[in-house]
Amino acid sequence: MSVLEHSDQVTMDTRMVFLRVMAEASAHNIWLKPEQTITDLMRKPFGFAGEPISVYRVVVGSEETRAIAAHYLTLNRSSYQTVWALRIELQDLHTIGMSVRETPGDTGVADIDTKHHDLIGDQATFELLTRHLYDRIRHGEDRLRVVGTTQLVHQIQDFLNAASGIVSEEARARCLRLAHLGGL
Amino acid sequence: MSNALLPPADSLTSRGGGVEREMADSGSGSQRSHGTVISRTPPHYSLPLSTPATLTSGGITDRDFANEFQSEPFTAVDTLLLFSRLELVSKSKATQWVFPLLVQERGEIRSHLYRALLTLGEPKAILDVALAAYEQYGNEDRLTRAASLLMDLGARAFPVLRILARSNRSECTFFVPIIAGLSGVRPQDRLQALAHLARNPHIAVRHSLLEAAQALPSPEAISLLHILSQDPDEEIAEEARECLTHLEA
Repeated sequence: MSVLEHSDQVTMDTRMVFLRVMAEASAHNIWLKPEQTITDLMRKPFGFAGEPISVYRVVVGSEETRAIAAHYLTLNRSSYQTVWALRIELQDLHTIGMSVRETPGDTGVADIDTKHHDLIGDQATFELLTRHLYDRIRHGEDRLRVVGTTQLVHQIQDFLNAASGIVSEEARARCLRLAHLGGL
Repeated sequence: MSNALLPPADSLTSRGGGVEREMADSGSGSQRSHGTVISRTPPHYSLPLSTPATLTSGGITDRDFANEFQSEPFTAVDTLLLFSRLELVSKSKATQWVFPLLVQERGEIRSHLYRALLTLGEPKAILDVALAAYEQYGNEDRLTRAASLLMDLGARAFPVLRILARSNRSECTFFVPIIAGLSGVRPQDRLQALAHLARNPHIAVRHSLLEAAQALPSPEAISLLHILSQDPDEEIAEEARECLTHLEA
């Protein structure tokens, strides 16, 4: 094995995470600021109703970007905007006693819809999860993933080039609208 | 943020949150999704299954609908649509009952609910229930699903979006791309709504507008970027000036 191959293997991130994809471009900043209240932190990603929370179980890296782009199609937009995601690890869920269940996704991208799950917990459990994630970020862990317009454009083109059966007709129509009107 | 920001005639009611809680309480024991790993307690049905005939004679309440939805979700939605066509329940009320389920359900039933909301075609009710429920329970899925529906409803959603644009609410950020991209809207009307958003007090809204402006036709983009180039947030102002330089070159 060459030094380069060895180096690639060492640096490759194969972490599996649950991604909670968020639509508001700059809202991740709140997670980087000190002394935020748990109420403010959990309002957008989890809410206060203790309802199932939609996530995708993916490998950190390009699969993560693909899931975020597929989720972007559900936003039904005609232009590209930066989006971001919270990375939740299985160990986080074990630590706080939160359940997860496999459920069908609705992005229209077949390989991503099979990775859809729901986080299941009451309000108190989601508070614990929020506190835990905020703490992990404070300790320097890489729990926020931002995907900009350049990455989205690339992934949308990838969906358009996909073999039939991978991307539904509706998702394809949304990809085409983005490709034609997206402004990039 | 309080709904009092909007004038009474434009007010986005708080009824939606109450309806959502009623629906959630009623459905808290449901087994809804495929591939369930954990299970919940089966629901207790206090009412018999309704049929169009029985409901026609006695009307339909949100509780009736919620109970029927627990056992026969597709039939319950179809029956509600029938009732709204027969004007036995208003489209607005039906929308208030169906929308909360869109956030909670998965798979085929979610698609069915989405199509039902498009059939009901009530943009104001969608926005009312989404904003009120988000204010009470959070979870931005409520707003992104509402935005997607309004996008599919097209130009007829624009009047409520224009009211929202004037409201100065922070939630406008989720609707900026929809207002910028809605088809069938006169350019001057769109620009007027977007200009309101350019003066929204929340940075996230103006930041979203900055990104959306870059996909607009040049004349509209330039008008907006001129406003944003004077933004009190230096980062937004500087990026707007950069975009202007590029567009006007």
